[in-house]
Amino acid sequence: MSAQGTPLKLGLDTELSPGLQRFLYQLRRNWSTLVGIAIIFFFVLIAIFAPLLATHDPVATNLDEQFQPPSSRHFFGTDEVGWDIYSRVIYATRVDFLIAIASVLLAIAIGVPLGGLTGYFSGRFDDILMRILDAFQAFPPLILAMAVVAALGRSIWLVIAVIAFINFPSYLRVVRAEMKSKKESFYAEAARSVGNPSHRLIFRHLIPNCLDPVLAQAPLNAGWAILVAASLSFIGLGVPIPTPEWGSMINDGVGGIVSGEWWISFFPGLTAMIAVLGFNLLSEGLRDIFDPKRMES
Amino acid sequence: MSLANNNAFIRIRNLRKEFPIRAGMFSHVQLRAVDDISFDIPKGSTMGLVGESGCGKTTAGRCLLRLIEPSSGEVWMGEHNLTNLTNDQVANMRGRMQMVFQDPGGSLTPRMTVGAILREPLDLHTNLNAHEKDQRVRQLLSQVGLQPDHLSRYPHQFSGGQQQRIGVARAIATHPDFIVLDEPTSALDVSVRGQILRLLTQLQEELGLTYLFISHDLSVIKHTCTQVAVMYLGRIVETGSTNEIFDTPAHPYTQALLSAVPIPDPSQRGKERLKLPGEVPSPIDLPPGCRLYSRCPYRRDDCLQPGPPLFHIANTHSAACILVEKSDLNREKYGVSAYSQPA
Repeated sequence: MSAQGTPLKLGLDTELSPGLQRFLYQLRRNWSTLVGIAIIFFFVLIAIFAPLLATHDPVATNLDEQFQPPSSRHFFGTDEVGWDIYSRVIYATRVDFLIAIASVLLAIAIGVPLGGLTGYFSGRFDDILMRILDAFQAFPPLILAMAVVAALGRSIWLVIAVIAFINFPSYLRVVRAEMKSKKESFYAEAARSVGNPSHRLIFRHLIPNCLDPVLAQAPLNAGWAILVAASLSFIGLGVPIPTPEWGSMINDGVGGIVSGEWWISFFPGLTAMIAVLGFNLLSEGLRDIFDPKRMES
Repeated sequence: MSLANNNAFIRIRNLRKEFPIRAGMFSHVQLRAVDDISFDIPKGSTMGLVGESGCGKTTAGRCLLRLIEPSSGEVWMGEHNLTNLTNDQVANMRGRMQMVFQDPGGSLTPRMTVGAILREPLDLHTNLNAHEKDQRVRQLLSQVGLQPDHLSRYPHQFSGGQQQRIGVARAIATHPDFIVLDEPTSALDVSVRGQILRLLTQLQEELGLTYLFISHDLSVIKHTCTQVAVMYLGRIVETGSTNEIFDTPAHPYTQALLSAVPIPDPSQRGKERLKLPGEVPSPIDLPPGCRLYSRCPYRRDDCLQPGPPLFHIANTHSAACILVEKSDLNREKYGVSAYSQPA
């Protein structure tokens, strides 16, 4: 018990903050998390430095260079309007990561507080809310997304909002379930006996202790958001052309697969797959990194 | 007689707590967890509330602080009737009345550092600035025997005894007058138990605290309390000073409790033990009359009459047994001189 009292030192004289210690500890212990973080970090760098990495203007058509196979001039080849696939894959990282991260953060921002409140207060409001969510979730999510986008028009922000809207009930449910057990805990009672009003009890003491399943789920949902965005674009309902986006780029190349221009779909598909893999690997360790108790085992 | 004394700091009058228990789809029965208890705690002293698990002592402690709402009755702290206050007023009063919990680890929020846990009551109940709060938190840590570098650690990084020290530090942070100690040592090792008890008595002397000490451990009660109330099935069956209760227990239940304490020295053993046959009856649907009737070796038909009230014996000592009134209880036979051994 007392052994974990000794703080981790990394050859430095300064004591690291507990959060950073946990982070480093988890990285050393869990290679899949390390790989996940490396992949995500790699993509974030690509998104930030896209203008430096791209060799061509991603939306400049060039009809002299249609259907070029991968070469030293066009690393991933070109498509039917002469767009440089490599540059577009690079720029699409910005769009797809924006969709993935923003939609997850928005879903958490809605689902977590609402789940915490409804789990804490229970009662009639809780019953009504849960029945409404049941009705929502009885709808196939992709069909719902298609219907909304088809009705309201195509834009990145609408895609983000729709994905967040599809995802938030699952965050609400897990936080609500955790809250129902945590609100009966001794520390909840202790916090009440110190004089915490309900809102402080819920947001300072209880919700931070209900986040384990959220942290495990968030990266999975981010990966899933990329797939949904790609699916929507693939059926022509996602991010409008010419904005580069992996799903719509895969769609552009569908015809080419049969006629031999495989690179048009292959490279964006491969990139999207690696990005989703990165998020899935990250989900394994993210919860552990944020849990102070995980260090001792 | 203590109940007539209106000068005591904490005064509990006819406190009741009933929980509705679902019996069928549409019917409820009442579980009477606390049934009409009254007692006083003078300022600066320690009242022990003792009884076996399920007798309602913890429920009573929570009702006192309005952590759960009593069904009826009054709780006075000084000039305030706590049972009449609104929830907001009670929240403001919480700086003056605090609780130390049975499960030291479980009562500390896992994702808050010790510093944040100790600063919280100061945030809620004082107007200190950030620097003064920091000073106070450090002072609290040293008061309970912890180091300043413990501030940035999380509760699970401490031993049970240290966790309970943090719980005590949190309880005294806002200079409360009254603290309910709910089995503060029952989850701890015997060696650590003594340290925590010494800490509690030392703080009581320094800060003039008034304690309600809830415990099932008679040896702990004996060494910390000035007054004792014995509870059985929601009622107080006997109350008096610690010496009166331990030297001359009047109620058969108290006698049985005391005679169940293990005696370390074999030469002190040999006295006949008073055993209560059978099980504690269900607190749902209790018969009228004495709660101990079904298990009492001295029972008689009169015991089934409603009541019995607490009969005055001597000084502060009274017991809820009709035999006390008739005083034909053979106390010598089950004398308890053997139980005066310290733990």
